[in-house]
Amino acid sequence: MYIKSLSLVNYRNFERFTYTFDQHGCLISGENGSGKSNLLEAIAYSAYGKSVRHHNDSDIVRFGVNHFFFQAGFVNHDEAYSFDIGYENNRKVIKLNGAILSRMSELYKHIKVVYFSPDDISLVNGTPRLRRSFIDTAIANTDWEYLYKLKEYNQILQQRNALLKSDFEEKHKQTWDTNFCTASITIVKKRLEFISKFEKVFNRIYSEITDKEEEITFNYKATLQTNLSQRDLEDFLFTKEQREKEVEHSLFGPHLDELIIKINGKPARDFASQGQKRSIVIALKLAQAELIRLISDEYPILMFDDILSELDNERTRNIIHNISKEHQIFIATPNADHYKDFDLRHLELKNENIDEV
Amino acid sequence: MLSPKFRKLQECLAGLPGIGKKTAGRLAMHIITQDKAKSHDIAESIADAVDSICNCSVCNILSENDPCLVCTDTDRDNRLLCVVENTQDVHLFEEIHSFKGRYFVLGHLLSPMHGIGPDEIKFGLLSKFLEENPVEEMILALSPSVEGETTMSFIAEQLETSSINLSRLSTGLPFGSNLEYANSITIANAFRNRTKV
Repeated sequence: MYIKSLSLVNYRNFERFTYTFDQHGCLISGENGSGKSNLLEAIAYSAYGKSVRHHNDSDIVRFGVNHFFFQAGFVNHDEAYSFDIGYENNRKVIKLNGAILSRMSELYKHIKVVYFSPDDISLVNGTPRLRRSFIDTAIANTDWEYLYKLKEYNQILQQRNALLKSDFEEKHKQTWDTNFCTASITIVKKRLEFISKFEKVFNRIYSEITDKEEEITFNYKATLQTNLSQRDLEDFLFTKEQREKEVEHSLFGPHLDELIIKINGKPARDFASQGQKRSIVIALKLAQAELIRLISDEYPILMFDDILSELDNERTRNIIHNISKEHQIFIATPNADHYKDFDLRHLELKNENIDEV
Repeated sequence: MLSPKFRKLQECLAGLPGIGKKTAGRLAMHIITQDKAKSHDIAESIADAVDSICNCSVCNILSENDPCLVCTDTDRDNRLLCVVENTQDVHLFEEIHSFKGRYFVLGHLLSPMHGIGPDEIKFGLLSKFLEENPVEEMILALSPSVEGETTMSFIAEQLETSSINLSRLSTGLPFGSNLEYANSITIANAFRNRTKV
């Protein structure tokens, strides 16, 4: 799939911006602060319905005004999709092909983007929440029902936490526990199924881009043993009831599970070098893109927000060779020379205008 | 300067569900400036409804009579019971004219976040209803939300040992709609709950 056109009004530093892209993508260079990342962010916004850089919509509005608007046209398997978003004073309307979207999960079905950000290093270094969020997004890329199940799980969790704060009747808690266990089993099973597929694809890509025989494994550490029967899980929660009552929230469940990334059997967070961590992060995202391709037979759009600059030329070349020409690729960088092997159209962003170099 | 009485009216209206401060101001202005007789009618009908409508002590329906007209209707099939969240839902089922059984109104769905537990959904009254009425089938007609599903599970678990047949409304495609415009979750549910032609 690829993005064909993009129009922005009052989006970050762009007062008005319109451009038509080809299906191979482009390399966008420009000085710091010229808006390269903002442009990539706008394209990725259409896939996720929100900022991939974790910014609030109110921060996306150009300084001095209260609204932004943008329109993106995508082509997927020869079918055209239009995506419009309007935001004004904390109210946002998203339209896909002219129809207002009530569920963001519908976006995941049609528009597929994998965004490589310099902050992605925190997928190895950061908190477990970031890795859970990565797996959840990667699953939702090809399994739209998963987002719905996750939302349902979070609602049950909130209700159960509220119950633990109250003076509840045992039979009332049992019902919430039953639903909580059912929802937990669904989420953990989906995550485990995904990780087993993901690990194989990841290791193939990792060895291709690093030329090394390092083995990366993914250990999913579940706080609830989902190989137990539903009944046993409920009994387990019953035995922990006193403790959960004391702390007034759920101490178990997929919202607390951890994905431990190991390099040659040791936690990558503590034992991988900076270079290895960067390669792991890039392979994580490339594997995410590859699974989208394998499962849904679509080449997602790849966006590199200056993430490859810190790698040496050889590793960058390996990565470039690993990426199929079928992907539309966007690269934002102040250093265009580093990416000459990509053979992409080179555009320069200057004063909100884009010129071919 | 707005009069204190006007402000009080505006505040009262703003306390109604779905009404913000601006809408409350517009409504208050309309009530004050329209034909006085019409405004008195509104005030009287509010007072009258509040004073004369209460919950039926048998099935919890909001009614002017206790027991309500459904509970005292001898043509109703006492073997069938439809459990709904609120009295508006009863009107929806009555409009389709295909259900001739009795109703029980829970008033709420289980939601610890809002302090709603078994007492608030009148589970004690429902148990009493079932003791006094030989129900054969109970239809749980609640919303398919997390709270609705949990309430249905709760009722089903409590009645596990009874001989009542429990059923729930099916979920799927709305009638007259186009498949193309249905969202993915609805299509998945409709597929799962498909019926034989």
